[in-house]
This record gives sequence, structure tokens and C-alpha cells, in this order.
Amino acid sequence: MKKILAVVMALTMLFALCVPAFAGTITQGTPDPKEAVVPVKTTYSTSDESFTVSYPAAMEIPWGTLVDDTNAAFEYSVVSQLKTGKTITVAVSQTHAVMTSAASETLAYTLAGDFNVTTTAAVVAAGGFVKTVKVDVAQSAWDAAAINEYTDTVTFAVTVNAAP
Amino acid sequence: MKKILAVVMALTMLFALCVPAFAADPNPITKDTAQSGSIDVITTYLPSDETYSVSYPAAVNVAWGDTAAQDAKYTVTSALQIGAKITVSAAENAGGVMTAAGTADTLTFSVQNGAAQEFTGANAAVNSATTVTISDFSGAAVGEYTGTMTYTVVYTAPTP
Amino acid sequence: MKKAISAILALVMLTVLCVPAFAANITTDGGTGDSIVKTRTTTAAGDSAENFTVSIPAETTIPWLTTTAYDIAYTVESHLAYGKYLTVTVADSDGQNKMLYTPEAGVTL
Repeated sequence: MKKILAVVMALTMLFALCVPAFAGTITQGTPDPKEAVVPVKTTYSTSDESFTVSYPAAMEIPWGTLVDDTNAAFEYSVVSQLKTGKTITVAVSQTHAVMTSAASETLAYTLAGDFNVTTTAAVVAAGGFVKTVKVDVAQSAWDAAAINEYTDTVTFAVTVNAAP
Repeated sequence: MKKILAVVMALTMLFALCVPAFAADPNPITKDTAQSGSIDVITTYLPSDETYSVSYPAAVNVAWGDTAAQDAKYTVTSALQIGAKITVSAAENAGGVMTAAGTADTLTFSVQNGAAQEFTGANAAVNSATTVTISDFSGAAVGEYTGTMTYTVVYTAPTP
Repeated sequence: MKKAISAILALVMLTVLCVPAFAANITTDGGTGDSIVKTRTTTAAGDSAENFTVSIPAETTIPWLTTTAYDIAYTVESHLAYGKYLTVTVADSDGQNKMLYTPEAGVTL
């Protein structure tokens, strides 16, 4: 008998966990108006935050391209849905001061445009934050370089900034 | 002492056998009348015998990004007199707008199956199908947004 | 039907070529991504970037009785691919190393 009661009690407690937590009851004795205001809330965790920084896998420039040419410009963008107050910073940097060919020749270049930017809101819709970084090779550098395929690496680094 | 108690109990049991006290009957059953008769069995009640209770949730919590319908049911238990009814409804306040501290962003929730529903007579823990839904989380910074909904109960007495 | 499919495939391949290389994403705090910056060996118009110019004088006038070597200057400007070079050869047209006199009108030798 005791065991049966224990099992029944355990099951009852288990089912109680599954029942929504009823806050209160309106009865015939509740003063008018017989109303109850119940809050509706969202719950969240940091894993609910998301963002995507899209950047070009490769930045190819035709021979002789100068910084103001459209061919020298490459776009990257941010889409985000973060907690209130948070922002995203994208830093763009070149690995070396020169591009290098397979024959170890070098071609000096720099980056221009938006290479250290921060979003201004926690929520950024697609198309709402599109930036341009440019590859700047001086005319004199082009003229002095044997025609070849020169390469280097440009790194995009992302930081999520906490709310102030 | 024991003997005295035994006698008292015997007498009490004896007197109990004598009850009920039959009321004076203008048509008693005798050897000269029909061997059966009928009486009315009548219930009496007081206003306090009528009860109802409507239980509602403490809060309705929605996990971020969950667009499924969330349980917001109420439960009715009642013992109402004939002709009486209670009408229960649940509805969002302020159009279901939800706000959060530190941002002007808002979310919106809606209540389903909250339209007024009538309950009469006896109901033993009858659950409504009321739910709450947030259909779109986009465009709002992630956080704790709050709105409110109201459960209302209206009692209608029987018409005389 | 085959022609239609071929045309459609060609169009699809063409549009693929037109899509900018927005191929990489970063989705984590502190994440980084590398993009290869590279030069092509063709110009924006798609032509080979190689070029050279050898400039030669239209004519060279040598003063009479000049017996010392007289410079015929020509210039070379080139922009070629790695490992390539130009060779400029200057030689008498007919290999005779002789100049001929053509009398002016009215003159008889």
C-alpha cells in the first residue's frame, strides 16, 4: 500500500511539472471586474543572437587598375540581429605591403576605402550595411612591374562589441 | 462506567430506529387503501452553493524565435444554477505590442481561441484551447520583450 | 529542343560568370576570413597587358664629310611578362652597306 501511494505521489508530482503554472483563479468571490492581466514575455539567450559578415573570397584586379577605377573596389556587408546595444566592427588589413609573384617579384599596394567600420545598431537588415574596400596600386608601381600574377592576402576580422 | 456507556449507546441506537417522524398524511396507507404512495424529493439550495473558478497562467513565456502557438489556456470548474452562465474570454492588450527596455524595437503577439466562451451548469476542469503566437521576430534586437493579455470572466444570473 | 537547352545552359553559365565573388561569410565573434588579392595579366578590357614601343627616327641626316660614326638613335619602351624580352636589330636593308644618289629633277650626271 505504501509503495502504491509513493508511486502515485511521484506521478502526481511529475505531472505537476508539466502543467502550466497557473497564477491565479477568478471565482465568484473575485471583486468586479473579474479580470486578470497576464504578462506575455520573450525569453532568450546569447545563442539567439546572429550575424553574418559577407566578404569577397577573391579580389582580382585587371592589370593597370588604379584606385578610382570601379575594378579596384570590392564590397563587404553585415547583417545582424543582436541584443540591444551591441554592434559589430569589421577590420580589413593586408598581410604584406606588397603582392608577390611566383617569380618572387613584388608589386606594392595599399588598401583604401572602408577598412575599419562599425555598425550603428544591433539589428542590421540585408543591404543595410554595405562597405567598400579598394586595392590601391600606384601607376608607377604598375609601370615598374613585369606583367605577372601577383598575390597577397587581405584579412577581414570581426568583433562583436558589448552594449555600453 | 462501561455498563452505563453501553446502556446509553443501546438506547441511542434504539431511538435512531424510531426516526424518521412521519408527517401527518391525509392519505395514509392502511389495509383498506392502495399499498403504495408517492412523495416528492426536493433539493434545496443556497446562493453559496453555486461556485465557479477560472484558472489562468502566471505568465506566457515565448522562447526567442519560436513562432509556434504557445499554451495560454484557462481552466473552468463550475457548479452553476440552472439558467446561469459564465462567459470567459482572453485577449491581447494594446494590440499585442511587446516592448523591451533600452530599445524602441517592438514585437507583436496575438491570441488565438480567446473569443468569449459560455459555460453553464457543471464543468470539471474544462480547458480552453487558448494560445499565444509571435509570428515574426525579425527586425527587433534580441532581448526580453513584454506585453500583456487579459482574462475576463462575466457571470450572468438566470433570468427570472 | 536541344538548341533551346543549349541556349539556356549557355545563359546560365554566362550569368554565373557575372556573379561577384561574394563567396565567404564570418558568423562568429572574433572570426576572421582571408580574401586573396591578385592581379590579372589582362587589362580591364580583357586584352593582354603586354606592350612595347620601339621608336626609330623617320630619317637620319649625316653631314657631308662626316667620317666618324654617326649615331642613329632609337628607343625601346616595353612592358612584358616576366621572362620575356625584346631584341632590336638594325641592319642595312639590302645588305650592301651602300647609299645611292638619286638626282633631283633637271639634274643630269
